[in-house]
This record gives sequence, C-alpha cells and structure tokens, in this order.
Amino acid sequence: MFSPRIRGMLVLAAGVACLLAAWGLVGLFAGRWHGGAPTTEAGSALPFLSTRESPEGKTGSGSDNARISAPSPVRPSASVPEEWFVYVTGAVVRPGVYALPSGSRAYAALERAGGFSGEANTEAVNLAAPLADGVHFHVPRKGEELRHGASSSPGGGVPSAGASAPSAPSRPGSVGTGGSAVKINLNTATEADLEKLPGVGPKTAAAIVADREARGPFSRIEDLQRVRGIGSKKFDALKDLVTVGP
Amino acid sequence: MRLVARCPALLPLFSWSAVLWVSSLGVPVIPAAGIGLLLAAGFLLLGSGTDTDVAAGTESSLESLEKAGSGGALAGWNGAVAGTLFLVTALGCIFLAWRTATPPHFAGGVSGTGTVTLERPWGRMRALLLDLPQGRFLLFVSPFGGHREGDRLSVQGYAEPLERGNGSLDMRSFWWARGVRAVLRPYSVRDEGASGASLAAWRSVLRRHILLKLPRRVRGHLLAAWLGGRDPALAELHRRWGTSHLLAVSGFHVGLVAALVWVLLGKRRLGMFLAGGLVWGYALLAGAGPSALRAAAMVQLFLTGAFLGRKSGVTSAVAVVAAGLLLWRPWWFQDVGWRLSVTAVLVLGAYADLLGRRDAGEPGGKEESALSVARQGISAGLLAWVATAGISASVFGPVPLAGALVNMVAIPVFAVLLPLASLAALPALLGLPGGGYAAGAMEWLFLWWEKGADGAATLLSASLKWSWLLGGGTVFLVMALVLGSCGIGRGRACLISIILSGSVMAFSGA
Repeated sequence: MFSPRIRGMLVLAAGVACLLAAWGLVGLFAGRWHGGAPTTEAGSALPFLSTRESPEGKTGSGSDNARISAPSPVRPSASVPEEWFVYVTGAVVRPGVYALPSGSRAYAALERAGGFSGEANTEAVNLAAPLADGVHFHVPRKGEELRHGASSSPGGGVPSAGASAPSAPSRPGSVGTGGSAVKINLNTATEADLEKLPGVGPKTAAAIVADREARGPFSRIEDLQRVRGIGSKKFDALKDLVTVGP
Repeated sequence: MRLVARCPALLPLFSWSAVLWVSSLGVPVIPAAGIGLLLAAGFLLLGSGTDTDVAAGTESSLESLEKAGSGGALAGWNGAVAGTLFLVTALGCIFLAWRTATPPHFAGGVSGTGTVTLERPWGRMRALLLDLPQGRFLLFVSPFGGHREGDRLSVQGYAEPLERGNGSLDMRSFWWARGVRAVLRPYSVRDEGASGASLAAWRSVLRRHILLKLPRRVRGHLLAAWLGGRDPALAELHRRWGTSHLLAVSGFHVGLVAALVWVLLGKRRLGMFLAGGLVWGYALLAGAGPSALRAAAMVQLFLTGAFLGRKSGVTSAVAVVAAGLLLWRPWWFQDVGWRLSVTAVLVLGAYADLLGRRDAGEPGGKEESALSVARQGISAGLLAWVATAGISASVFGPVPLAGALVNMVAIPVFAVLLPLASLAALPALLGLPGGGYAAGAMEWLFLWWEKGADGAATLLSASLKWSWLLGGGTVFLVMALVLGSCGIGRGRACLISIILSGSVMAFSGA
C-alpha cells in the first residue's frame, strides 16, 4: 500500500506520537494521586512550632525549614476523629507544640520532636504512656531532677516519669503510672483503645463495650471472660495489659 | 526489530520503570499503566529501524534468519515475537500499577516471638526488622536497647501502617522494599537471647569480631564489604572522594567474589556451581540489599549461560534481572542504591557491547594493546561516573568532581585491596597468634590510599550540583548509549533519548 520509505516515516511518526502521548499523560495526571496505604499521620503540626521554641534546632537535621514549609502530602486518615495538641520540652531535638492523632502515646510525641537529644535521660521516660489533649511532655536531661514526680501526675493518663499535665484532664481510657506497662481500663476504654490490645479486633472490642453497657462495669479482670469471643487463652494474653477501675 | 532481537528485556525494563516513576509522581493507576503501554509501543515502533549497522558475527539468531530467511514467514515470526513481548510488557505494566496502588498494609494487635533480621541506625533511634509469624515488622528502639541481629524477641504490641515521614525521602518505599508490613509499637519487648544458627546470628557474631579485633580502616572497609554495614567516619571520607559506591555492596563486590572463585576453581562444572552458591551466600551475608541481589542474579545468569554454552550480553543480563526483580519488589525502584547500580551496569554493559561489536567488525578480530585496554577502562569508569552523577546529586547533594579522578584509580585499587584485606584479617578474626600484624599491614595500605585520595580531593575540590540540565543530560547519555548498543540507529536513539530526557527535566520536580 505504501512505499517502504513512507511506511518507515509512518512508523517513526507513530513511535514519536506514542512517546509524546505518554509525556502528555504524565503532565495531565501527575500529582493527582497520593499513593500508599492509609496512614495515621495527622498532617502538619508545624504552624505551632516557632523557631523561638527550638533552641536545639541547630543540632537537628538540616531539613527543619523544609518541614515547616512543606506539609506532608499524605492526608489524614478519615478514621482519625480529632487532634490532640501536646507540648514537648526538654532533651529532645525539636521542642515545641505538636498536633497528634487522638489516642497517641508518648513515643509519638517524641518522634514528632525529632527523638531524644544526646543528653536525654532515656530511662526516665515511659514511652508507652498514653497522652491527652493539652499535656506537657517533658524529657529530662541526665542528672536533671524530675520537675514533676509521679505523685504530681494524678491523672494516670499522662506520661509518668518525666512528663506532667498540671492542667490537663486525664485520658479517660487509661490508668497506671510509672510502670513499664500501661494498662487499659476496661471500664472506661473506648473501642479504639481496646483494639490496640493484641488479639482484639473491632468485633471483640465492640463486644467488650456492649457487655459493659449491658451488664455494668467490670468488677475484676476475670470478668472479661464473660465477653463472647474471649476464652481462657485470649484472657491469659490480655490479663497483664488491662485493669478495672471506676 | 533491532531492540526485540538484540535486547528484548529492555522493553519491559524501561516500560515498567516508567510506570513506577510516574506512580511516584502521583499519577493514578490507570493512566500510569497507560503510560507504560504507550512507552512500550513507542519503543517497539522506534526500535524497528532498518539501519544496517550490524557487524559480522555479532548478530542474533533472529537477525541471521532475517538475512537468510524467506520474507513473509520471517515477518510473521518477527511480528509474533514482538506481539508476545508487548503483551508481557503490558501485563507487567498493569500488574505494577496495581501493586503500587495496593502496598503492604497491616494494622492491629501483634504478639509473638521472632528473630531480628536487621539492625541499623535510624536518625537518633535504632531500627530493627523483626520476623514474626504475622510477617516482617519494623521497630524503632532506643540506641541503648542492646538488641542485635539474630536475637529472639518476644513482643506484644500494636502494628500501624508505615508513614511517609517528613523528609525528602519516602520512608515507606525504603522499608516496603525490605519486605516490611507495618511499624510495630510494642507494649512489651522481652529478649529471649540469640537465635543460634540463623544467618542473622552469624552476621551478628561476625560484626562483633570485626569491631573488636581489627584496626579502624580495615574494620570499616570489611564491615561494608562483608556485612553491608556503614562506618560513619569512613563513609564521610568516601563521600568526599566520590567513591561511596565502594562501601555499598553491589556488582563490584559480588563480581569480585565470583571472579575469585572462578579463578581458583577454573571453568569446571564444580567451579560454576560453587561460584553460584558462594555468590548467593555472600549476597545474603552482606544484608541481601537490592544491589547485591541484583548482582548475584546477574552472575547466576552468566554462570548458567556458560554452563549451557551460551554467551550472555551484559545489557541483556542486567535488563532481564532488573525487570524480573522489579516485578517481585516494585519498591526497589525507589531505592537509590538500586538505581545507581542498575544505571552504572547498563552503561558499562552498553559500552562493552559497543566495543565488542566494533572489534568483531575488524577483519580477524582486533588485538588489544595494554594502552588501549587502559584507555577503555578509564573511559568506562568516567562514563559510569557521569551517568550516575545526576541521581547522586539529586539525592545526596553536590557530587565532588574529584570522584571522576579518584574512581579511575579506586576501582582497580580496591579490586586488589578488598580481597587482600579479607585474607589478611582472617588470622586476627580467628584469634591466631600474630594475626594482628597482617591486619596492621593492611591498615597501613589503607592509610596510604587515604592520603592519595585526600590529595586528589584537595586538588579538585569543585563539585557538581543538581540541575535540570544535569538530570536530563545523564538520562540522555544512558538512553543513547543503551539504545545504540542495541543496534538502533543514531538518529532514532537520539530522538528517543531527547524525548525521555525532556520528560525527566519537565517532571522530576512534580
């Protein structure tokens, strides 16, 4: 139909058209999709982090400015109901106020603050301690006397050693201070709190809450076995992680 | 059908890489797959040139058929091969677009006992990879935690999906590429002691001996070469010299192991089997990073080819292996080490193929003088340095120009120093009397290398910063060289390279 020369030209033109069309598609669609699995990242907390509040910022990574000016492209998960604001001070890389997903624990605040600085007394902080909205989380330096001892943290829901919440309400779902394990209060925990226990999924968490509402508060830990779906094996795995309280 | 005949695996490799690249730019699944398909079609059409630059003796069996065969039947055969290749490429594009949209996702309670398979610094924390019955999880622990590779940990906690992180690098791709399902936030961690005979435990024992028994420079280089570890002080020196790639286990190290075994055992079948086994064992011992596994797979391909009496081209081998590994772990495409090593090997392979074809075109072959071999070696080193400069500058910052100079010497020098240091360190590691002397002698050799490299870096202190021109230029160089080595005419190779480098310049900031 066509001479070899014309056929060659047509093939060449078609090839170039394919590459240019691919280029056009990239231009048209780039940036339309933020890939990856759902995340619990709550978005930028950086408007609350002023340079005045970051005396140790110079020792951190050189990307501080980038962090301030470039919010993460990952959108907050739809399942995160609200944010908590936590004030982090002491021996961390970037002290400041950070917004965290509700239900966060101390390690999350520490990660946001860039981790421990070199002089942190890491043993004095309970990283598994639950936080609450408005708490002041302080990481003591080595040799530093604790400004707020465990006794000054009556609300058990705030980080114990090295952290204080003088004016913050305690987190309703948790009790326990100072210990290495933070226990979940079966009588006040939400379904979201309960789902963080090993082997407890949304169904079992809902069953625990439903049982509590139907039969009243648990008076002892063993009462957990009355919930459908929790046998002796699962109870053994959970008994050290939960508590009952008012 | 030059591209299909000479190096068919380049078609899926380029198309699949494009799918993964545009996905990282935020292109949704269906358009991303479409872009891969369009590129594959474009490559097939533009790679079907009629240039007659095929030298005698180097053409493929398909091309021989083309010359000798009967037109209609051959055209049909060519069409069938090209059609099959396009179909495979298209299916791969769709699969990879889907994989990038559905990354590993896990959230919920986790408890069990598992082995720490990797332990490395991560900012001010330590990152552990823990293999549990539910999969592989990432833990961030205090640097004072004392957990080591090979330790058995009993954990209870809650797993959350990986987060992107606030830096310029996407943390998720890095860990997904290493098989991680989620971040584990532990309620409790109990150390059950070393796991015994696992590879991770062996790595841990070896690391301890290297750290305790060897002098500083030998220690740093062997930590890198044997275990894929990184001594921060040594890494900073190599960064200054532009030779950081020598500290990352890649084709250079794996090739050295294979070459040593090959030389010691000869081209016997036993040698081939042993070389294959040792290369895989070495790649796993060195941390099974993307570059190490890619190189081991390439060596295995060459060994299998040699066993079957078939010679493999470097470009073809790297394309087959890289494309296959991307299907297995798509996130390796985002790994800087992977990109650097694949780019360097593609360029070196293309250069070797071009030289081989030129020499084969000489009547009776061509006798290489020592000077000519040295010139080719220097050119290859420079080409690899220039080709990878764009990626290095975009990720690590300004690339020292001294690297171009130092690398010409560094690669042959380290090809001798690393095996020698490995041998010299053995008596000290085994605790033999006087073992420290051999290690001390190697320390002295490394010290002299350090002085020489420092001198070169001082003489040439300028560096190359990232720019659109550098990024586009290096893409152009790589594409033109690789396509040229596949027998695609200069005009078409340049046309394809201009379009692709233009797209990189236009969209890398997207």
